[in-house]
Amino acid sequence: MSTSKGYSLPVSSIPKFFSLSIDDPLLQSFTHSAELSNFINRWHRTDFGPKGTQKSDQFNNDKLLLNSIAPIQEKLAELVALINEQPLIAAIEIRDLGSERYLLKEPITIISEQYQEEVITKWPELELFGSGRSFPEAIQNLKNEIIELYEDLTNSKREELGKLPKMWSKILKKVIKKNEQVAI
Amino acid sequence: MSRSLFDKKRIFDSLSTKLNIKFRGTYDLVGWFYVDGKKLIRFKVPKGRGQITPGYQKEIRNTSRLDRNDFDKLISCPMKGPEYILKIRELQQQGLL
Repeated sequence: MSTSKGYSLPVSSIPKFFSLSIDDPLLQSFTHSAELSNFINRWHRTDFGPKGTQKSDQFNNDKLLLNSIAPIQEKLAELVALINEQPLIAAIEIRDLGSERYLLKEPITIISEQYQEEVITKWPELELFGSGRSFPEAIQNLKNEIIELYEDLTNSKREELGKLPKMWSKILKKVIKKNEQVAI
Repeated sequence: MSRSLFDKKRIFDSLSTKLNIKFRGTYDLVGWFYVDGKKLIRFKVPKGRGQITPGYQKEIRNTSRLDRNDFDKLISCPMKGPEYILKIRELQQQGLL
């Protein structure tokens, strides 16, 4: 960003600033207050005015401009944090519950959400989810959840179940069968 | 907009105390929220202490049917059990639960 003639780049790059991709290093640098204040200080120490303009006028204009950038920079930092929290989402098909006792009659499609430090797998229709530091861990966790809910619901009296648990029970009975070859 | 991540134990304490949920389990803790003697919502919370992960907290919040602000209120104190039950009854009246 620095040139031998000083910091003339930032003013001209303001419109460009708004069209940068979120991963752009220039944009990332604006999300840190320390970076921004260093940048302002360095900018003001240089003779950056275009030829024929007074530095004082230029200074005042640029100061106004920078003051108006500060709230944008704060908002941007919030948005970057929000984007970093958004998981990568994918659909995965599972064909087995990883249990000797139960078999799947048909594959189930589940959703995986990959965050920075965790993976969440879920079967949204049944409000079930598993979590883990890796995909295999999160998937196995969800499979255990499915079995646990199935056993819970099949051991519950029907009149004890609310509207949704009744529906979950119906769905689970459609897709899960006991493995007759294994004594439970 | 609150973006707080709660302590695992705080979530467990709030749900078990305010909503009278009996949690059990080996790895994660699972418990039912009963309304009118019926199992209505199945909550799962992590065991142990320390800050919960963002994805896990989001799933608990989704389970609770509360928006971010109301969930924060439920866990961090202002919202009591009866107020939560009122919100759930509204959803029942809409046929959503």
